[in-house]
Amino acid sequence: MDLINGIIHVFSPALLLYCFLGCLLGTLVGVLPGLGPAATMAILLPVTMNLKNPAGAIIMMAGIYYGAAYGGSTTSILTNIPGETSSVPTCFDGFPMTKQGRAGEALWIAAVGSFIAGTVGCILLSIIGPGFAKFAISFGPPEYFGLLLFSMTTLISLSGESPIKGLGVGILGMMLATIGTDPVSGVFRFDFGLVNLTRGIDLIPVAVGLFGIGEILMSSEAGMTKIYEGKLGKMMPRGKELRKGIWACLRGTALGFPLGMLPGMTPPVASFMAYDLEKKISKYPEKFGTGVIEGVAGPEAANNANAQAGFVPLMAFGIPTGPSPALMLAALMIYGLQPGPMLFITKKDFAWTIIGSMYVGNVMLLILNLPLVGFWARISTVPYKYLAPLILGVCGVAAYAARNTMFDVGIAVGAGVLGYLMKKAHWPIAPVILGFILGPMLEVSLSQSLNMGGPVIFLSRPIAMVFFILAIIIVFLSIRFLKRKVAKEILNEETDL
Amino acid sequence: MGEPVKRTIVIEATLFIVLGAVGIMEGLRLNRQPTDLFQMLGPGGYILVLGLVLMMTGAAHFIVDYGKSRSAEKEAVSTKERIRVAGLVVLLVGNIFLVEFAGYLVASIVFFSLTFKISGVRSWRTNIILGLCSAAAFYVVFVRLFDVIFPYGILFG
Repeated sequence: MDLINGIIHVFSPALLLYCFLGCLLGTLVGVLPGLGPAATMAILLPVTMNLKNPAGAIIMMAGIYYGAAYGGSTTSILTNIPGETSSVPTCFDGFPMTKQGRAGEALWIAAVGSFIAGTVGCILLSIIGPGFAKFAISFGPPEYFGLLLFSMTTLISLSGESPIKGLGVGILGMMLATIGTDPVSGVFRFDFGLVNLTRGIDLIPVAVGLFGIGEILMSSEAGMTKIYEGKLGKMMPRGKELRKGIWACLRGTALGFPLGMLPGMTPPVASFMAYDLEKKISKYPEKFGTGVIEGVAGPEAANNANAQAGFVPLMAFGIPTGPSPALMLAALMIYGLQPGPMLFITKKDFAWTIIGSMYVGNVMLLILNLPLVGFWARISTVPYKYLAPLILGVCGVAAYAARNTMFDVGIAVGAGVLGYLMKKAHWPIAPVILGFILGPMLEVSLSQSLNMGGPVIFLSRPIAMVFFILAIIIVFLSIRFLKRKVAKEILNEETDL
Repeated sequence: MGEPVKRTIVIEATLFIVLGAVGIMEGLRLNRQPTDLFQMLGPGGYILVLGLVLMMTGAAHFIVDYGKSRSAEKEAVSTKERIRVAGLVVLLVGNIFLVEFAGYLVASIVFFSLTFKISGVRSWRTNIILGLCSAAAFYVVFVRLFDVIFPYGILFG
């Protein structure tokens, strides 16, 4: 009943418009390499503050997030350039399908698979989300600290090729977040005598810099160009191809959704795992990479289901599972809406409107992606040399608009250079943002827990202890993986000698 | 070929250790400040722990990754590409000062014209036209539609 009311509420002209804008922007962002959903959401955050419609703003941001998952497949299939990291596996078989004149089939199955996964994801979110929220009502500061610690540990362990690098940049993000005022005592930290630093560093310039400016600098160095190759051919696969594609979509959804509820298991992780799965269970694994429909359908469905699933811990616990949900969290907090279990109680209408908008958004995305595929293909032919300056301009405006100070633009440029250097050195970027957002929450919950009863308080809270044990297991597995990796490399070197 | 990568690891590890040390010093400084509030962790306790972990991470990065740096390959980046990136960074920084001096509109015309040039648009006439059009579009969208208030600059303020 709540869900139906939520969907009905979305059908107001204003909310429908915001939903459409979000889906359109998300698809555009997905089509254009160089600007991901996280950067776009960071750029739009200060702009949405002027909208005076919190539901509309959040619906638009959500549309950008799952819309980018749809749009990224278009350039992967048509040009072999992934629009998003989560669309990289789609290139493996999508582009070969284009070269065979089957681009239309690849685009169709990617769009329909995304729709199936998105819709199933919405249904599961509607069922699981409130249940998780009810469970989370029993959480106090110790439980939240445990959950946050587990989240950070998982995120760090799963980031990039090395957990050490993930830990380093995660801690760096947490330290950046401490600049400004201590949340308990109000003393200034890391201000170095500068008035601007006493206000702390805002999330938006950091996110815009790391994800937006950093990406543009990398892409400019790489000298990116866009080329559209191949004809679309017939749109819909038939017979056996259609059946294989649909089954791969369902498998991708089944894999992507549970993963999406775990911190660190972002859409790129899900799409790679889905591709691996399809290859492993296929009767002809040697054909993967030559234009197999399951190689497109599985990853696309997984990344969409994963994107929807990220809203479960976000809305139920207030814990983001990746950079884009982290920015959604920031948007909710800007509007004074604390995500967490109370959202489903005190702001029930708002919560169900957001969930309802996802159903509507998935239908809009199907319409945007299928009939308009030729339009998106033409967009992808716009040379990057014309897009890059405009994107940089938008990044600058977004960084400024957060607090109306050029100091924040300076922060964004600094973060952009840092993001560029980190990408060059193959350091993961997501833990910086997640540490930046989760760090203060971790600090406050730790401080509150210790003030409640000292360190022994954790021993008397079984849920917190479970999270601690899980975090220790994750750390143990990471160290074991690292040891194996180092041992393997030493062995390889000895063999080479 | 391994040498530059080894150097990179030393720089990275040193950076983390230095940042960690800064964190520890700040944490100790904050904890020495008198406060009436009861706070078991103290205003600097959290930062102290972060600084310590960061130092340990830097040391671990050096110990684990220094030995295996030989197998990494150096990416080939041409001087032209490096100049393009450096040029963009200089423009971004210069734009901040130009906005404060000449205001947003003038600064954005200059910024866009030069950025299009660096990005690869060859003709200066095209760059200037694109710069003017982009600045005008941004002004209409962000200043008029979204009510973002940009600095007028010392020159026009």
